[in-house]
Amino acid sequence: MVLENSPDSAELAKRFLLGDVSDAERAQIEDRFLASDDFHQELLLAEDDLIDAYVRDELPARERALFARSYLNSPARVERLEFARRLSHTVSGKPLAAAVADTAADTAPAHATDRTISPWHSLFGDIFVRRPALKFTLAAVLLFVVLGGLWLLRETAQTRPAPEIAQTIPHAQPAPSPPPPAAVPAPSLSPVAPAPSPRESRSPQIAGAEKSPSNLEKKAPRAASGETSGRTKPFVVALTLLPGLARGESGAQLILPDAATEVRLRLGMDGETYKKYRATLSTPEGRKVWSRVVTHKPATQSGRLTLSLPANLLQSGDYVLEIGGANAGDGEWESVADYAFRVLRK
Amino acid sequence: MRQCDGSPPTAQVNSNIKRSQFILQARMIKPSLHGKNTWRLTHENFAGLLAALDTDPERAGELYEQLRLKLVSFFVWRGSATPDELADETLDRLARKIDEGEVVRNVSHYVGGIARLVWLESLKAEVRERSALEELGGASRVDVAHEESARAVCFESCLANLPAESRALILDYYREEKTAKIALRKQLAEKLGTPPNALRIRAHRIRVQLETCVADCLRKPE
Repeated sequence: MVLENSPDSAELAKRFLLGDVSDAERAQIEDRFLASDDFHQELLLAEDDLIDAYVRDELPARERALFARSYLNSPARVERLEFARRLSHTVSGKPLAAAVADTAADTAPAHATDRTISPWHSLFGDIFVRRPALKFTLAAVLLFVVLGGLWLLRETAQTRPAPEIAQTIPHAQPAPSPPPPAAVPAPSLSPVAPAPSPRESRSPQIAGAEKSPSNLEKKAPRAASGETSGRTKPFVVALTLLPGLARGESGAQLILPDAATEVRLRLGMDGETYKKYRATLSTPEGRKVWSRVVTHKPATQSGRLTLSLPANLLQSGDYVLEIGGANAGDGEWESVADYAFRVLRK
Repeated sequence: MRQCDGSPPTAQVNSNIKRSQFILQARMIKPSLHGKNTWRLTHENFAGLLAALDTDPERAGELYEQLRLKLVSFFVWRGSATPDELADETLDRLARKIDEGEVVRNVSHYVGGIARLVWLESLKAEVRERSALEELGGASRVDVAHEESARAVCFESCLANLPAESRALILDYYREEKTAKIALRKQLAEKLGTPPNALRIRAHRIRVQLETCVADCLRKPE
């Protein structure tokens, strides 16, 4: 019998709720809660905790991806998530606009664009609504800081010897800098972006999204470096993903400028290689966005597969990319890896 | 509205039985989900189902309610969009089996088997319905902004209607995040003089009450 009163029982309950159990385990758990009121109660409590942890972004990357893909697969559960967000907003003061944007991303990325709000707004919007006087106070403080800074700069310039100024000029105006990276470690939509837990920091997703400088590369539009004909040329935005990743604040994000024409996804892969690969990009609720079979042998010997897709297919929101592999011509597809990422349209 | 075709049960009437009878009457007017047969739930075979759960009618009513809640959970956790309907269908089939003379020694185990069968049938039906919907041109778009506004109004109203003590408890219980919430809940349990797990169950029940109220409010026509 599974789920005796052991330290693992909470973990198994969570896996059950996330759909991450075998058929046999599922049947055993179902039989047990149908027979035991106490056990049923335990599962209900575990479900509350799971939803709250998702709403508050406390789930590890893999569980967050599972939650979006497996748990949010029915209207009743989406409704429960909405309720939990509302409750969380009420008790913690988390700006609901951010929560709404999150939900839209979880369940309907195609419609989420209008709801994307700036981090500054999510930080201060709710506070300003409740305490408008704060807005004026903060504005006065900012004005004071800016004026003070300007005065200090002027004073420094007047007192600095001339040769020193001459030396500093080339450094102060370097060669045109490259544009900011296309994807960054997440401008938080939440008022307080939680620091990744040690567990999250060890996850491959964080390593892929935040630590590797080559992870995110934008082949900059010509316009950014002074040419005006950039829109007529391909504008490729690239993102490197590692398997089992979660999207969002703790995971990979792709900031997608409107001018982008193509998205190039570089997938880190490990394990067996296949003769052909099938990539399926979907929203968390299962709406298929794009699919492609790569019949030629890609550069997977080095553990990487690169896919290109039109940028206009992607809206702000969350996406799940599933890779299947097959060896024989009409062989069965085997699941190779799953990736998740969040797109922010700019 | 189709009327009940059996005479009222003569068993002792109590709150649980009353509620069960209410459910029975509500369900008797609905056709079977799958429409495969003409069998219908009557007072007699419903009384037979209750008797199989317990010889004491009051206790049988309680057990019926608990079993139904667990079946709803069963289908929610399987990902059903219509968990209540499937739970009722499962109980109907259980009542029918008992009515047909099946001796059910372990009801929870037996009902699990029926529930799995109902679930598989519902999956097939869902595939058929989805194909039909796609042929009709896909799902309709939802007015998300309007829905969000309605949800906010319902939530505030339901929260305001909670007893003051319950409202204070739920707002306190879910206030903090991460490790801070553990310390807060411990403090709260000490303040209320209740074991932490009892407090957890209490908060959960208030949450369910609030959630049900919000869901009912959202279903009401404007």
